[in-house]
Amino acid sequence: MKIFKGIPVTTGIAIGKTLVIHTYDTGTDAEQKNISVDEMEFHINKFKDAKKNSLIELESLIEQLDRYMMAEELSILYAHREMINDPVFDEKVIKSIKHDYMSAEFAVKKYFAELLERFEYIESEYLLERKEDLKDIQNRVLGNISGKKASLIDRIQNDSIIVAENISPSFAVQLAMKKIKGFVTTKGGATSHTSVFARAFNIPAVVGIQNLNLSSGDAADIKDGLPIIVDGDKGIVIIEPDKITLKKYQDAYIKKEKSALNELKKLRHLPTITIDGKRIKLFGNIELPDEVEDVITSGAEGIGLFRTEFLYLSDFKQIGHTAEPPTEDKQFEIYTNVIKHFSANQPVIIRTIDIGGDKSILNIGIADEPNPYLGCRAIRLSLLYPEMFKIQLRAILRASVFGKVKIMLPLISSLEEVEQSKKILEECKKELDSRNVKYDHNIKLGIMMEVPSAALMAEDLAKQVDFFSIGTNDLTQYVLAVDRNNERIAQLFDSYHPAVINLIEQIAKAGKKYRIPVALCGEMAADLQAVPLLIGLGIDELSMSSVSIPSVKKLIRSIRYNHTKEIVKKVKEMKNGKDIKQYLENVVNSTLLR
Amino acid sequence: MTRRKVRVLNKLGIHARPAAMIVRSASKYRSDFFIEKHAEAGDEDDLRINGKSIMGVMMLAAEYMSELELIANGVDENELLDTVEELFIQKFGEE
Repeated sequence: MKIFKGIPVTTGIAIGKTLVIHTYDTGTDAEQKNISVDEMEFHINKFKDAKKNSLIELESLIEQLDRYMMAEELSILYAHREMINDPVFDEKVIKSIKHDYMSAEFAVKKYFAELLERFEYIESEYLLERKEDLKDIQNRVLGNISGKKASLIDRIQNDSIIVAENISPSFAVQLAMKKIKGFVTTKGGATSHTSVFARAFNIPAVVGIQNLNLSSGDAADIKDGLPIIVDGDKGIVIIEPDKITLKKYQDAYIKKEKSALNELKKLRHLPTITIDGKRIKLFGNIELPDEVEDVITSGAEGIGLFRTEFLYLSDFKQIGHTAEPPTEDKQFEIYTNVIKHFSANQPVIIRTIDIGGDKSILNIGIADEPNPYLGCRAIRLSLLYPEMFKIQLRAILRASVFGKVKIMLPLISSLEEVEQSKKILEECKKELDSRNVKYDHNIKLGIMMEVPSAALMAEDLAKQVDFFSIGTNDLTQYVLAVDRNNERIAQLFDSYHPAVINLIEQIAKAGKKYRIPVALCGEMAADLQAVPLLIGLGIDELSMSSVSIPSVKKLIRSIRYNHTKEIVKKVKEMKNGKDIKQYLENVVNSTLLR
Repeated sequence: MTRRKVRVLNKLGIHARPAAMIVRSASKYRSDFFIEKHAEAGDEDDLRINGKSIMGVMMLAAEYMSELELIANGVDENELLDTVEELFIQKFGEE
C-alpha cells in the first residue's frame, strides 16, 4: 500500500484500477532537423495539412462539447482554435522552414518553445497553467505532422482511474465524456484544465502529486491495472490499498450515499421551484392505499396517479375465480381513506381501472386475447361493461367531498370515448342526486395521453377535458411499436426517441393553448435526466413513485427554466434517442454539482 | 493612430479565453492593432505584439492590475479601441 498526497479538486471517493498515461512523446532523436531547398515545399504542405487536420479534430471536439452545453469548457477549445488559426503561427513557422531550412516539426517546436519560454517568467499560477494550452496545441499539431496518434481512449475500462503527469484539455474532455471514474495527476493545480473538467463532470480528482513516479522503469510507483483509491475530500491517493483501508473506503462511500439521502429529506418542506421562479408540481404515484404514507413523507403535493387495478386483482388473488368486483361502498371507503391524508388543495387523481394488457384477470369476463396491448383493456373495458364502470365512478364521486378528487381515464384514443365516458359520469351524478348523496359537482375529468391517436388530436381532446396526464411507457410502446416486455427488442423501447419527445411536446402545447394542466406520470418523470427536458417542453406536473420525489425536487431547484428552453432546442436538433439521453445525462450531471 | 491605456481588472489576467476574446473582437475591424506592455523596474524590455494574434496576446502574460497600451491604426481605429476597451472594463465577463 502506498499513499500519496496532492491537491484535492473534486470531492468524493473513487475506487477503481489505474490506467497510466505517459506524456505523449513529441521529440525523437531520429527526427530530421534540417531540410534542403527541394524539401521546402513538402514541409510547408505538411505543416498546412497538419494545421488543417488539427482544426478538424478541434471542431469535432467542440461539437461534442457544445451538445453538453458546457460554456466554460468550450471557451478553452475556442481559444485553441484561435491559436491554430493565429496568423502569426503560420507566418513564423513558414518563415522558419523557408529561411532557416527547418523541418516542419522543428519549425513548430521552435515556435512553441519561444512562447513557452516567455511563460517561464510568469508567476501567476493561473497563467502558468495556460502553458498546458500551448503544449496541448503543440502536441496536436506535431501529432498530425508525424502521424503518431495515441489510442488511449480505447484502453479505458469501466473502472479506470487515469494516472498521468498531466492531462491535456482536449483529452480531459474526451475522458470526462467517457465517464472516467477518477483523475490523478502529478502536475497541475486547482485551476488546471484537468481540474476544470473534473469539476464540470463531478469526477473525483487529486492533482499535483509531486512525489509519484510515473516513469516506466523500475523506479515506477505505479503501473496499469493496480487497485487505486482517489480520496477527493482529503486529497490523497492510495495505490494497492490493504484490505482494511479498502473496506474503510467502501464503507465511507456507502455512508456518503446515505447522508445524501438525509439531505434530500430536508428538502421535503421546500417548494419545487426553479432558480428563476417557475413552479412545478410533484405528485406521487400509488398502486396500493398504504403507500400513501410514503407519498406524504416524500413531500409530494398530492397524488398524481392512484392506480385502482389492485381492487380487482387483489380480490381475485384472495378469493379466486368466484370473486365479484368490489362494491361501491368498499371502493368509497378505500378512496376516502387515501383522500383524508391530503388537504383541500392537494389533489388525488384516481385513474379508473386499467385492466387488460399485462394485467388480464378472469373474474370480470376478460377473454384471452392474442394481442392484449391492442385489445380490450382500460377505458375500452370500462365502456364495454358500463355497470362495472359506474360502480367505480359513483364511489369516486362520493369520496370527492373529502378532498380535491379528480378522475382520470386511461388509454383514451378518440373523442367518442371521452364523450361516452362523460355521459356515463353524468348518469352517475344523477343517480347520486336521486339518492341524495353529496359529491363534488365540479369534479375534474382528465385523460391519460398514451395512445398516438390521442396525442395527434390533443387539441380536440383538450377542449373536452380538464387535464392531461402523459403515460410515457404506453406512449413509447405504441409510437415505436415495441413491446417493452419482449427481451429481444427491449433495446428498441426508448422514451427519448425523437418521435416520442415530439408527441410529448405537441400534447404540452395543446394543453397550454386550451389552458389545461399537463402532467406526466410515466417512469420518465422520475428519470433525472428527463426532468429538465420535460419542464422545457411545458410539462407542469410530474407524478412518480415517492422515492424519486426528493431527488427530482432537488434537481428542479437547481435549474433555470430559461435553460430548459435551450435544452429543448438542442434536443430537437438531435436525431436519435441515444444521443439525446447522453446529452441530457451530462446536462443533469453538471447541474447537480453546481 | 490612436493609443489608449487599459488596466487588467479580471483577477485571472489575460489567459487564453480573454486573449481569444480580444483577438476575435479586434479581427472584425480593418485597422492594424497592437498591444504594448511597458517594462517595469527595468528588467524587461517593452513588449509590442500584434493584437490580432492570440499567441501574441498570450505572450503579454498580462496579470491582474497590469497596465497595457492599446494602439490602433486605420479607418476604424476608434471603433476597434472602443470595443476592446469595453472587454477590459467588463473584466472579460469574469470576476
